Formats: sequence, structure tokens, C-alpha cells
Amino acid sequence: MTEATPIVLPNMAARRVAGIARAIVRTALFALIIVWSAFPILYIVVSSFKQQKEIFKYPPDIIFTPTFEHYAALATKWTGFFPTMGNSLIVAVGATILACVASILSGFVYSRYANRFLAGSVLYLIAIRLLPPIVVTLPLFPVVDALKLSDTHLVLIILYATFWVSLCTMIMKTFIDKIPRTLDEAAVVDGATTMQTLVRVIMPLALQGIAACAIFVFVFAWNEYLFALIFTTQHAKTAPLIISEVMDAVSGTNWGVLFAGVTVQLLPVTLLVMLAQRFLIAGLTAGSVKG
Amino acid sequence: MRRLNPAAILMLAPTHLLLFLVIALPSIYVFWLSLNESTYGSDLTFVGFNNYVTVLTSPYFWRAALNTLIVVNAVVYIELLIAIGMAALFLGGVRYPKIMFAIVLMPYAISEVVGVLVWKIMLNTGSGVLARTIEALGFGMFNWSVSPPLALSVVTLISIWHHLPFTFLLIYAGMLAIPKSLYEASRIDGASRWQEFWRITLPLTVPAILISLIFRFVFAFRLFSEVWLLTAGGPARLTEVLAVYLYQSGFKYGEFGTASATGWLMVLGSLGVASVYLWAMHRRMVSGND
Amino acid sequence: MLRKILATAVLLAATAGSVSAQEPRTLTIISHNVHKTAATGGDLATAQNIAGEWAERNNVTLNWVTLDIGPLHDRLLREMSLGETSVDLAAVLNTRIVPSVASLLEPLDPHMQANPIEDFDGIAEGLRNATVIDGKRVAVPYRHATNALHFNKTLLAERGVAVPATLNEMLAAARAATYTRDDGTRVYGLVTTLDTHVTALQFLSAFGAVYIDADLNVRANSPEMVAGLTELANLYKEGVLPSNVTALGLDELIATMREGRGVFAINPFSRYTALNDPAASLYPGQIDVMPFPTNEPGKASANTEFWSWAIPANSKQKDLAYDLIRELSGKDATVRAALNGNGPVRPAAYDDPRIIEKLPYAAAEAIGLRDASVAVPAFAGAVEATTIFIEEMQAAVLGLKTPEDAAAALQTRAEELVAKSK
Repeated sequence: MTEATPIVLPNMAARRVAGIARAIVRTALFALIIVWSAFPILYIVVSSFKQQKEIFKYPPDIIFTPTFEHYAALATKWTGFFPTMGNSLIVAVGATILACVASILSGFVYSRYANRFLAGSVLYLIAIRLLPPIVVTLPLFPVVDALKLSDTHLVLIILYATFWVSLCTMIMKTFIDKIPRTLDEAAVVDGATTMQTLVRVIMPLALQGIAACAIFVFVFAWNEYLFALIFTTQHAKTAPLIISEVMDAVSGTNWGVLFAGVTVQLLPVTLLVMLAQRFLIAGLTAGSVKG
Repeated sequence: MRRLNPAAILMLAPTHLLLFLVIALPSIYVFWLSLNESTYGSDLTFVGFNNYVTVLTSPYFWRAALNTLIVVNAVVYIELLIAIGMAALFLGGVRYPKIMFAIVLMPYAISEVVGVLVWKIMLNTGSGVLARTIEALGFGMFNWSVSPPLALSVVTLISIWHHLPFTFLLIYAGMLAIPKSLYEASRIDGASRWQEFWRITLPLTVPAILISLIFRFVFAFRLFSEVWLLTAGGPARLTEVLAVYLYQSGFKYGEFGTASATGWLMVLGSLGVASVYLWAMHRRMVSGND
Repeated sequence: MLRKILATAVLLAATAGSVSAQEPRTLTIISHNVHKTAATGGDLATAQNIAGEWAERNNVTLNWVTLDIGPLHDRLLREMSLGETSVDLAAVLNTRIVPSVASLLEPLDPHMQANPIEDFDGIAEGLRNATVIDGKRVAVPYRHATNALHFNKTLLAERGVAVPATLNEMLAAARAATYTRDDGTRVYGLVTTLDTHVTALQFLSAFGAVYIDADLNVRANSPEMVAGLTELANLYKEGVLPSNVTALGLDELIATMREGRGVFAINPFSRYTALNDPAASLYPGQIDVMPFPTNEPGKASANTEFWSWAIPANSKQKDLAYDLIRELSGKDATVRAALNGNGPVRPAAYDDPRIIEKLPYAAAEAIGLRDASVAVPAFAGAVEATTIFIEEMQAAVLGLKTPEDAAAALQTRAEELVAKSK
């Protein structure tokens, strides 16, 4: 680098050109990512405001008079939709809390404790997730029924949380691994218990991991279909079951209502993601301060 | 590193109790089911390893296994490369982060079924907006559903689209957790961004990459909705994957022995596919490093 | 915030629990949404709430669990495998009433002797017979979906093609009506869903082809089957059938017809309403329907699928559930359900003035139902038999196999399956 100092001016110009080129490429890449991610979603959202006749028109109308008939139909004809969204929320929040709490606890142990059994059990954490869930429903169905847990929020919360504790434990472990051990040792010296160390020292510094886990579990629980179908009937029925009824194999899918339902369902998740994004950044600054 | 003590075991309990009661115990019973013949409401008839023989001698099983292997590897690796690139791009700074973040995660936020259906509508031969555009650009009719290689390519594309946010989020969060001080130090040493990426970002993201690889293999191996909704395994059962085979021969016909045996064979298969990464993960655990 | 959400959740759960505790008797029905609409009128302006009136009279709350076809049977079978189920009444598709399933259903003969269904013999004989398994009546037919030929009158007129009367005329008309519009839109002469067995077997049966007959004789390797498969393969090669026909589902068929991209379509009569829906179709009132023609003038060929009501043997309120079946199966209830859009299983219902006035296709469907036979008989291997058929049929249509080879393979494989099931 020091040898380059005599020709400072042309180098600066070259750097500026390179900087502009970089900015253009970056912008183009972001544009590509937006189109790739958002186009199909936009198709759904826009279609939900079109009349049934216009949804599949080619070439599609870009400008049209929006209609709210499908949203009205969702509220008046598919009366189950909004109440089941309440169930979905209960189940998704419950599963997220349960999975995150369990994973933070176990992730901490996997990160901070050494034991041969512990190392082996990491493989077990993953291997146990290899059996296709649909097969596991065979023995689970009669057991859940016998325990009188059928059609309760609790059964879905337990199931959904279980499906994610393996992954979330691994995620929490990797994030806690990055936190210097000297920090929790210092806390212990100050007289904090293990639990206090975890809550006051570790958790604030592992926010990115917690945010990622929360997004995964919530989104999964919010959209899950198979287990909701098998384990609920009325009381704990979740919104994806209504969505699947709109996709009707006997009288044909009502596309407008389907797209309206999907759009409504997308809103809470989008809000959650935007909220979680703040935590990802928060974790970042905490990490750099600690540096 | 501390020795395992009762308090630590107590902290492990919720995770391991959930896994043991909800998955491990039923899985053992499923293995017992795989050694029996049974259907809805029937008693079990012990048949030894007959169900495994039935499945392993079925040409449909092997075709499904081959299709699964191809699609899973394509999906997992392509997705990983794109996710790393995207995460690096985001790491270099992003405008309107909240909105960008929401947009990028959207494909993951809608249910798999709906995602696949929308793509199907857009790609419908002769009527879908994308299929017609491809045709209008002069590439000829995009008739993917009757051609197994094309159909499986579409399956791969949609699967990547839907799950990319998962891999991206894991890797991006991993990259965000790298202390800034490391970059500052390297910048003082005059390292270029490219060198920074190879020397700091990528090596320190390996744990996250490993986790996302393993879990994407696990999830991709049981890929179902994409194939079921696009082709239902057709034409002539040529695009079936293992989960579709399991559903067809196990659940549609109500043969739980076959279903359970296929399930356990899928466990072995996915263990095989992900074994390298599982081994790497285990090594990291044993050596106790990051 | 989170605490508030949880508190609300607990509160919601508690109130919901206490409300259900106060209610008198609840009857849980598991069915497809179409059965609920047939029995209650759903949200129709002209709703005939047959089940609701019965419920009010008997101080019963009806708890409808509506699911799509696959999930419905999966869930029902799981429920019937338990020691006791909360499902009291279920709608079942004919191909699913196989002997192993029938053994989990309540035999209805004792109930019917004690408390007969009004004019039971007025229900179409074929449907009545198909719901008796091993000498026991296990279900009561409620809704039929008989296949027919839909056609777009406007498009036929535009292409100068006359409405056909025989199978050969129909094939010629479909070919003549296939063309590409100026904007590049392809119009297909014949649209059908070859991702399922029912519509393909409908086409083949017009040639006189039978896959497996009611006595479980496999009759797939016949000149009629080969002729039918050859014709299907030719239609595909010539572009008369949509190019993605093997993956074409019901939704796409409906969209294709509504948008005028298809001229003829093979689908049940009752699809008339959806295809002519002014809110969704570009050709409202222009898509007519007729019984599927054969080459014998005046004789139709009709494949049918039908739904029945059945009671799980392990349910708790069998008498109450039977009483609702009895109510729904009565003569007048059948007509009123048809006004809700149901396919009435009593041929006499088609003579009712209310139906003639409401359903433009009533006369055609009456003919269809008269000539109808079940696509695949119910036997232990019925579902697998349909999978085999779909595989071989698709191979023949796409030219992966010759029609002769496909028919021969179909014969061998189905014979093995039937032998195994016996």
C-alpha cells in the first residue's frame, strides 16, 4: 500500500469509478432479489382485489378498479376464517415461546458444558428429525385422543414447538458460542446464579439467534396444515384449514377469496418479521460494543 | 468448559422431554409398525422384514429415490450459494432494512401449498402469465408438466424460492453476529473487501452454514407439496419423490406397514446424504470449539 | 404485550369452553363442504335449511366439520380406528366404502327396519346396491356426480360447427373447433382432467370400454379400450387436448372453460353452475351440457361417483345420527337439497317442477343418471386400481407406451390386484 502513495490522484479516480460500478451492481442485485421474492406475492395480493373474471386474464391488467368483494366474502361467507385466525395466533405465539425458552436453556448448556454424552446427543437432536412427520402421526393420533388433548391449542403448541427445538437449540448454541466466556465468568464472580447469568448476560447478546428462532417457529406454526388437520376439529381449528377449504376439489377453487385470505394471513407475519429485524440489528450493536 | 451438573441437566430437560415423548417414542413404535401389516382399525400382523422387501423391490421406490436425490442436492446447494451471496450483499449495507427484510422473507411467510399454487398458476402451459411470457419471447411452448426433467426443474425452482429465506436468515444472522472489531482490525491491515469476505466472514459463518445445510437436507428430503401439487408424481409416476411414494403406497392404500418401512428407509437415506455434515458437526461438538 | 396476548388467549379458551358446556346435544358431522351446502343451503339466498330445521325440532346443535376429499377420509378413518369417536355422522365417497372400511361402519338395516326411510326404493338402484357390503347396508346414498359433456355454444357457432349427436361427431367437432386465436391463445377442442381416473374412464366408456366391472372381472385388454386409448393419444398428438392434460386439474379445467380456451369438456353435470357463473365466466349461460354421447344414437354413457351418509360403528349417538340420515333422505328433502345444488340420488326428483324450473340441465342429468355406472367398483384394492389406471393411461396418452401395451399391462396388473384382494 505504501508504494502506491506517489500516484494518489489517478488511484482516487479509479476508486471512485469502481465505487460507482459497485453501487450499480449492488442496486441491480437488490432489484433482482426484490422481483424474485415479491413477484409471486404481489400477484396474490393484486389478484385479491380483482374481480374473479379478471384474475387469470392475459395479458394481465396492471391498472384496474379494485374490488373488495373477496374480502367481504371472507368475512360473511367463510365465517370460520377470522375466528380461526385467533386460534392460529394463540398456537403460534404459544409454540414460539415454548420452543424459544426450551432452546435457549438447552443451547446454553450445549455451548457452555462439556461432556461426551452431550456431544453425542447433538447427533440425536438431528437424527430424530429425519422420520417424516406424517408417519409419526400414526401412533400420535390415538395417544392424543386418549389423553383428551384432541382439538386443544395445547396439543398443537407442544407438537409445533417440538418440531423446532432441535434446530433452535443448534442455532442458540452457535450464537452463544460467539459470546466470550469471560463475560459469564465475570457475572458468576459478581455472585449471579447460572439462571441470572443466562437471562442478564447471555440472552441480550444472543438476540439475533432468538429473533431467527422466533421467526422460524412462528411462521411454521402460523401456516402448518397436516397436524392441524389431524388433531383439531372445531375448537382449536387454525386458519390454514379454512384456506384449504377454499381450495375446493369438488366445486373448484374460489381464487379471489383464496387470495384475499392469503393476503390477510400474510399481514401478521410481515409485521413480526419487521419487528424481529430490529432485534437482529440490536444484537449487532450489542456485539460490537462488547467487541 | 464446565462439567455437566444437575442444574444443567434440568435446563436440558424441556428440549429432550419434548423430543423424547413426541418424536422418539412414536418413532420406535413406527419401527414396530414397519415389521407388521396393518391398516385403519385393524390389528397388527407380524411379518418381519417383509414390508422392507416389498418397498426395496419396487421399481417405483427406486425411481422416487433417484428423483429425490437429484432434486434434494440441487435444491440444497443452489440455495446455499444464493443465500451466502445475498447475506454478503445485505452485510455490505442495505437501504430501508425493515422493508427489504420483510420482502425477502415473504416467500417463507406464506404457506408452502399457496406458494406452489401461485407458481403453478403463473407457469400454467398456455395460460399462465410466466408461461405465456416465455412463449412470447420466442422460447416455444413451456410445456413442463409432461417432461419429467423439466417438471423436476420447476419443482427445484419453487422449492428454492420458498426456502431461500430460511437459509438466508440463518446465514445472515450468523454473519451479523461476527464482531465488528475483527473487520476493523483487518481494514487497518489493508485487506480488500473480497479478502475480508474469504478470511473473516465466510470462516466465521461456517457453523451457521453447517446448521442450515443439515436442516435443509432434512427438510428437503421429505419434499412433498411441490411435487404433489404440480404433477402428483405424473406423468405415469415418473416424477414421484420419496414422500409422494410414501403417501401413495402407504396412506392412500391404508398400508401402514409399507408407510412405516418407507419412513425408516427415508431416515437411512437422509442420514447418508447428510452424513458428511453431521460428522463435521459432531467433530465441532467434541473438540468444543465454535 | 406478550403477557396481554396470552391472557386474552386463556380468557378466550375459558369462555369458549363454558359456552359449549351449556349446550344440549351436539351432533358432529364430518363431510365435504358440498354436503353441508346441500343439507343446509349454506349462504345461498334461497337456502333450504333441511338439516337446520331437523336440528331445531330435536333440540340438537349441529357441529359441521368440513374437509376436502382426501383429508376427509383420512381423518374419518383415523377416528373410526379409535375406541370411541366424537364423529356421529360422515359423508363417504363410493370408492372408499371397501370391505375393511365397511366393517368399521354401523350396519343400518336394524335402524331401517325399526324406522324406515321414506320410499327407500326410489333411490337409484345402482347406488343402493353399491352401498351394501357383505350383505349389510352400511351407507345411504346422498349425492351423485355423473359425468357429462359440456360445450361452449358461442365457440361452436363461431367455428361453424354443429352441436354433435354421436361420439364420432363429437370427436370431429372437437378437432374442427381447435385453433389458435390471433393473440396466440390456444383454444382446445376437448378439455378433460387426465390426472384422475374418472373423466378418462368416462371417455373410454363411450367406446364401450370397461376397466373393472361390478363383478370384479378385469376387462381392460379389450379392442374397445385400445380404440379409446388410441383416440385419446391421437387427440393429444393433434393438439386437440391441452398440452399439459396429464397434470390438468379441476381448477384449470374450470378456468379453461370459463375463459373460452376450451370447447368441449368432460365433467359432472353439476359443474354447469360453476362454468356459467356470471361473476367468473366470460361465457355465462353459453356453456351447455348434454349426456356423454356414444355412437349409438340416443344412448348415453355415464360414469358416476357418489357420496353416502354413514355412521361410524364406534360413535355414541347412532340413533340420533340415523334420524338425521332419515330426514335428509326423504323424498321432499331430496328435492330441496337439489335446489341447494345437490345431485339428487332419486331419479323421480328430476320430474319435480321446482327442479325443472331451477336446473336447466335436469332432463339431461336424469338421462345420465339412468344410464350411469360406477367408474371403479369398491373392493379392497380399489384405490390402487385407480393409481394403476392413471399411470398406464397417461403413458398411452403421452405416447410413452402403445395403447396396446398399456391395455395389456392394465389387464395384468389389475388382475393381480383383484386376485390379491380376494
